[in-house]
Amino acid sequence: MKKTLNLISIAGFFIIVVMLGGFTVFRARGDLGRIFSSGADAKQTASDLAQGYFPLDTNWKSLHTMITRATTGSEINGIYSDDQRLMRVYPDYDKGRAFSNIGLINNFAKRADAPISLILAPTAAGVYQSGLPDFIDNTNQLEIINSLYYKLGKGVGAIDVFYPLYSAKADYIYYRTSDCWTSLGAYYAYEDLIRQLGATPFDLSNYDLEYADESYYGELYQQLCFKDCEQDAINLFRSKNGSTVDKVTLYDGDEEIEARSVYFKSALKTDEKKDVFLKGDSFTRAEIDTGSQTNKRLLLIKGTYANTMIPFLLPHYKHITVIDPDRLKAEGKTLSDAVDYDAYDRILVLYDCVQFSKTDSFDILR
Amino acid sequence: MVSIVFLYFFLPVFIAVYALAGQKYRPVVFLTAGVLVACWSSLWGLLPIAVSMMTGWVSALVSVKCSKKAAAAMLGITVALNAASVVVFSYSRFYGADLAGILTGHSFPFAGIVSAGSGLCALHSISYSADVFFGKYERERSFIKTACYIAFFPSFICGPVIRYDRIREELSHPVISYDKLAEGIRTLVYGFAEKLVVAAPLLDLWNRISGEKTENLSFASCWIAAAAFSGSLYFDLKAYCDIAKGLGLMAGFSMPDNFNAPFACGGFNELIRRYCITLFEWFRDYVYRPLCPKRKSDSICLPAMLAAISASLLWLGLGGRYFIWGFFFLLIITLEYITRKLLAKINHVVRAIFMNMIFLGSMPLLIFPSSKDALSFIGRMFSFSGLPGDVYIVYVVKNYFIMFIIFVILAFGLARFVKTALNQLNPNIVRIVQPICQTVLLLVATAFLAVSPTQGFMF
Repeated sequence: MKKTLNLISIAGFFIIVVMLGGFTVFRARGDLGRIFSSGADAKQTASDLAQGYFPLDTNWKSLHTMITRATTGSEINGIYSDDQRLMRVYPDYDKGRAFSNIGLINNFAKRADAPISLILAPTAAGVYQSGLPDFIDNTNQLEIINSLYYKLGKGVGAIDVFYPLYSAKADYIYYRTSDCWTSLGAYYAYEDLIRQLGATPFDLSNYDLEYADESYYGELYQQLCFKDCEQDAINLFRSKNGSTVDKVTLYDGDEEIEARSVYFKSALKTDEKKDVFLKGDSFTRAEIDTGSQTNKRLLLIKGTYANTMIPFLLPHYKHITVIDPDRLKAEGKTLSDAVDYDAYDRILVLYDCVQFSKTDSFDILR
Repeated sequence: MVSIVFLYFFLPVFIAVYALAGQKYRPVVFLTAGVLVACWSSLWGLLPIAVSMMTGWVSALVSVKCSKKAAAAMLGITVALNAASVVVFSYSRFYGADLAGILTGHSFPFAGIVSAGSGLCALHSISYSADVFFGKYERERSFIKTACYIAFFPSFICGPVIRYDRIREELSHPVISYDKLAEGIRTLVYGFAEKLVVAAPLLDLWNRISGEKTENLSFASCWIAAAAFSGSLYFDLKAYCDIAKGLGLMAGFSMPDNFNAPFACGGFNELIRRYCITLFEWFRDYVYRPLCPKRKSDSICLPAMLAAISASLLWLGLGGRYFIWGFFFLLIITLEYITRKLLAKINHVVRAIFMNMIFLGSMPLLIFPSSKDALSFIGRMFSFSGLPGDVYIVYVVKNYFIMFIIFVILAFGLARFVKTALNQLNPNIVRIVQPICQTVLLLVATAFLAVSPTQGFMF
C-alpha cells in the first residue's frame, strides 16, 4: 500500500506540474523567442512569460483571494473587499505632486482668458471611508480635496462634488468592481457642477435609462477574482429629446475616428466595458459638436472620471474639446500645441483626487 | 527558488534529465543545475562558487600530497579566501551591509550582486578542507563530485549545511527511489506552502504594524508584531530548508533537518541547538570546539562561545545590530548556564513561555537598524499600556486569528506530534492523507505564485 500511495503522490505531482508547465509553454510558443533575444533581461522575460501565459489565471486568483481572506483578512494587494464591493484603498497620497499640479493650474489661469473650474472627485474609498474598518490605512480624501481647493488661486473655481456623492452613497454611484463612478454618480456631480456655474441641470426624469450591459467586472475584480462580489451594470442615460451630438472626432496621434455618438458600444464586447463612454482613455483629443441651442464652448481637461460625465454636459455646450494630458504629454505636445484655449468660454479640469496626485502631465499647461 | 519558473519548468526538466542521465552522469547534471541556478541570480555569482570549489579541491589535494606544513598553510588560505568571498559576495545582500562600505564609505565593486549560494559554498569548502586535513575522511578523487558537494545547489538559499561524509555514498551512487522521490515531493511542496501561505503574510503583518509610530502602538500590538516578525523569519528559513531537503531527496540525497520545533524549547541552550541545527553544528565543530578542545562535557567556554556566535553572526551579515543581538544572546545563555540547577526545578511549559517572551523581546534588536528605535520598541513592549483604542488588536484578532493558529500548530511541533500519533495508531491513515494534503498544498502554493510569481528570500 505504501508503494502504491507513493506512486500516486509522484504521479499526481508530475501530472499537475507537467500539464500546467506544458500548457504555459504551448500558449507562449509564439513569444518564446523573446527570451533569447532579450539578452540581459532574459530572466525577467522568462518570468513574465511564465506568469502571463500560466493557465487558469482567474481560478488561481480566486483561490488566492479566498485563502487570503480566510487567513489574513479582507485587504489584498491594496484592495479592500466586503460583501458589497471592492475598493482600492490609498494609504499613501502624494500631496507634493497634487499641490504641484494645483500650482500649474493656478499659473495657467493667469494666462487663460476663460474661467477655469476644477472638479476633484473622491473615489469609492473616499465616499465609503466610514464603512472601512479602523485598521485599514486609507487617506482621508475629503481633507485632501479641501486642502487642495484651499490652494486654488484667482480665476480657478472649485466645484465640490464630495457632498453630493456622499449624500447619495446609498445609491449605485460607484461600480462595485471598479474604481470609478457610475453614470448615476457622474450625474450627481454634473448636477452640482451646473448649479455652481449658475445654470440649471437637466433633471433625471429627462433621461431614459438604457441597461447597456449587466455583466461588467471591473479592473478590481480582474485583480482579485473575488467570486462573492456581485457583477456591475453599465447604464447609459439617453436624453428623451434625442441625441444632441452632431459629430464626434477622436484624435490619437495621426489617427482620427469619427462617430455620431459619445457612446462607443463596441467596447461592451471587450473586458473594459467602461470604455463605452467616449472610448475610455484611448485618445488624446476629442472634438464634439452638438446641436445645443447655446453657442458656448467648453475645453475639458480630463482624467478617467470625466468620460462618464461628458454625456450630461452635451446639452449645455455647442462644442466640447476634450484633452487627455497624459497622452498629450506622451506625444510631446503642450496644450497650446493642441488647442487655442482662449477660444473657449470655460475650461473644466475634471479628475478623481487620486489620479490627480499621480499624474505628472499638468506641465502641458506651461 | 520560490517561483513559477522553478516549480513548473526548472524542476521537472531537471528531474527528468537527472533520472535519464544514469548514475554515472548524474553528478555532472547536478553540478550543471547548480551552475544554472547560480547564473539565474547573477553571472558574477559563479565567481564565489568557483573560489569555494577550487580552494576546497586544492586544499584537500595538498593535504594528501604535500607536507603537513604546506597543507596547514593551504587550509589557512582556504579559510581566508572563503571568508573573503563571503564578505564580498554575500554581505551586500543583507540590508545593504558590506564591509568596504562600512570601513571606507565606498562599496565593493560587487556590492549588490545577488550571489546565490556563496555563503553556503564557503562553509562546505572550509569543512571539507578541514575534515580532510584532520583525517576525518579521505579526500574525494573526482573533482565533479567535490564540486557537487561544495556547490550543493538545493541548499543555496539558506541551508541546511551538509557534511561531506553524510552524502559521500549518495554522491558516488545517486539513486532515485520511489520512497525518496515521494518524500522529497511532499517536503518540497510543504516548503512552498510554508513560504507563501505563512511566512509572507506574517511579514506583511509586521510591516503593517511597524509602519505605525511606536508611541501609537499598544504593548500588545508590539508583542504581536514581534511574534509576526519572528514567525516570518522562522518560516522563511524553514521553508527554504524544506524546499532544499525535498529537492535533495528527489535527487536521491538524504538531508538533515534544520529545525526541530525551536519555540517549544525550555531554554536558550536548547534553542540554539534546535534553530538552524546544521549551522549551529558547523560553528560548534569548526569554531567552538577547536578553540576549546579540553572542555568538560557539561561546561561552556565563554570566549569560544563568543567567537562562535560572532562568527555565525558575521556569516549572516555585517552590522551593529547583529553584534548587539549576539551579545544579548550570549549574556542570556551564560545566565541560563549559571542558574541551570535552579531553572531545572521549573516546569518546562513555564520555562518555554519565558524563553519565548525573552526571545520575542530581543527581536527588535535584530530588526531595527537603529538601537534607539529598538530600545523604544522594547520599552513599549514592556510598558503594558495603550491597549484601549488600539486598532491593531482588533485587526489581528479579526483577520490573523487563523494564521496565528497555523503558526502555533506548525512552530510548536503540534503537527508533527499529531502525525506521529496517527502513525502509531494506523500508518495507513497518514499514507492516505499525505497525497491529498500534498495536492491541496501544491494547488494553494500555485495560486499564490500565480498572483506573485517570484518570492525572494526575505532576510
